[in-house]
Amino acid sequence: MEQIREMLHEFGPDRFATYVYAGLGGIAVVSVVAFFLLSWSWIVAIINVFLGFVVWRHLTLQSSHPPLSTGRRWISRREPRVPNTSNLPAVYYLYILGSGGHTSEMLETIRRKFIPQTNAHRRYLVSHGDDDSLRRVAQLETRIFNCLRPSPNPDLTPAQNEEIITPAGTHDAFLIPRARRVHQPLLTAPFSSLRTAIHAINALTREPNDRPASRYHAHFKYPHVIITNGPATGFIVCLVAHLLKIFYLAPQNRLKMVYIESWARSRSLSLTGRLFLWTGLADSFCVQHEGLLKRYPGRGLLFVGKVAARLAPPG
Amino acid sequence: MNPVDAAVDGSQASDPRGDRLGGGASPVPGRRCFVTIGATAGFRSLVEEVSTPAFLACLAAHEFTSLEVQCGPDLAFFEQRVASLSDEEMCGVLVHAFDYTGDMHAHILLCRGEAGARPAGCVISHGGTGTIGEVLGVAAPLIAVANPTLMDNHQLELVEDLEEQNLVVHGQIGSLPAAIHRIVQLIPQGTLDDLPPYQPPPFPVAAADRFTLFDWMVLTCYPEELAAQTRALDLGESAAESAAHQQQQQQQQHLVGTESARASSREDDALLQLD
Repeated sequence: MEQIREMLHEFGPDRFATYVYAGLGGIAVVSVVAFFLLSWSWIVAIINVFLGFVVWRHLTLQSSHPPLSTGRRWISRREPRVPNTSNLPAVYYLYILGSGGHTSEMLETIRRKFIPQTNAHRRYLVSHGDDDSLRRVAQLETRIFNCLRPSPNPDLTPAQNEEIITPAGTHDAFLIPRARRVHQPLLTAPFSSLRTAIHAINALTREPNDRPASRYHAHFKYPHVIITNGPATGFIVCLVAHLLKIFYLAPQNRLKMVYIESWARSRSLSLTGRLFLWTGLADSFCVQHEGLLKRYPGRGLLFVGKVAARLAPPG
Repeated sequence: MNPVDAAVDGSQASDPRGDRLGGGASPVPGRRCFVTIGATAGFRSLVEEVSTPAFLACLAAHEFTSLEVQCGPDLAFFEQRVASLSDEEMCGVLVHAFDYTGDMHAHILLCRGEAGARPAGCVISHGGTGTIGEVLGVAAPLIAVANPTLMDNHQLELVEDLEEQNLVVHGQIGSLPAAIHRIVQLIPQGTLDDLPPYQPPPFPVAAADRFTLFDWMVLTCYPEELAAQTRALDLGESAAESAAHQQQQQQQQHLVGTESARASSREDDALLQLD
């Protein structure tokens, strides 16, 4: 009972995730009942209609991905005034941190893309037990805060000053169980992946505490962009996000996905990369080595340069 | 007492950044070698190789005076091996070992050669992107050793590619002394001994260097704003293009000043309008 109460507390005031679980449970019960009551021909017909719907939605969502030529123009832009996101009502990124090298690469990418904006929120997804990543996120956020700290307004009380959102924006972190621990047998991996998926729904739909709906309406309800660079957890989170969009549980113009293949992969794609390529989940599939474009021609790979590695200028 | 034991004991008693890190007592410190196997997986063969007398002799022969090893799970194994060496086999190299550190950057920075402060040392690392990126970021000499026990030996790809670009020396287990020899030859070529003091990269980065893909992706959530900014991008670029074009024309006219050059520029203008 205590655990359930804790979980409900975790879901936040709007209980979105609770409704999703209740809905899933209801569908499960209805389908079991239907399985016994209906004739085979009905069951087959219903399953066909369902699969048809899923495939149709999947293709619709895929056709809304920005075309590769557009992506290339964005990368090679020579106009420094665009893109400008500082006037939008909200800019909300979800960064998925793996461990070790994945985290290093992601933090370097964040450093390369950061721009001071009061309307920005960053959410970090960290695996359970990955204290190293948590510590490094804290380091980065401290650095962001320190270099953008405004002088306190003397007309306000210290508490009010605390509440003002600085150009550093806001951030929070979510812990999520690992999809597969190191050395975990593949047999039990589907179950632990399911647990990850259940937590992912919460991380994807829980509004940030610093951005309550009472002040920001629903602008911060869903992340705009999910960024992942290779851990298995990232694929599961993106799959969940895609399913939410397929079943109209999340709006189509949120939860855009960017996959950045690790800098380590210069000749072939990693397992997660191939999964993203086959399923076509990612709105934008980025690689950091030009050689990969030749290896996988016509598959929508976008070459973005070394965005996750800091190389000193030669000499 | 063996100097190794002293160093090892010191590392266990205090934090990983022992006082030895602050630089030697002598005014001109020798070269420093830092070995790291990363935070994720163990790499016993590398730990084993750097505790052989042949490797220590090679370090000493190339003016290295201290060796630091981040051993991960193999710390006890390393300590045991080093303790079994005699003073002669140590060749006067000061050895310091620890399992993990929260501040890898400080250790790597001490291998960067800075004019007047210290000569360039050398980092010997596993083939992980995090470590390689960090070492190359501070321009310290790097020997990268791919860990063959990891999933489909994926580190080898990156290490081989980086060696082709002359950014790292690809170290092989069993022939690390040869790699040390090579890196010491490469140090004067890149003048890595006399770099200016280290400046951390600017933060936030300059607008022109920013990686903006994510901002564009956010804009795709607001189609009207995206359309407006795409127009701004088009306008800005065509303005820049035509400015460059005009400059080119002026140069052409200046150089040639013939009727044909003017005709071709008129043609170009027509093309631009068609675009």
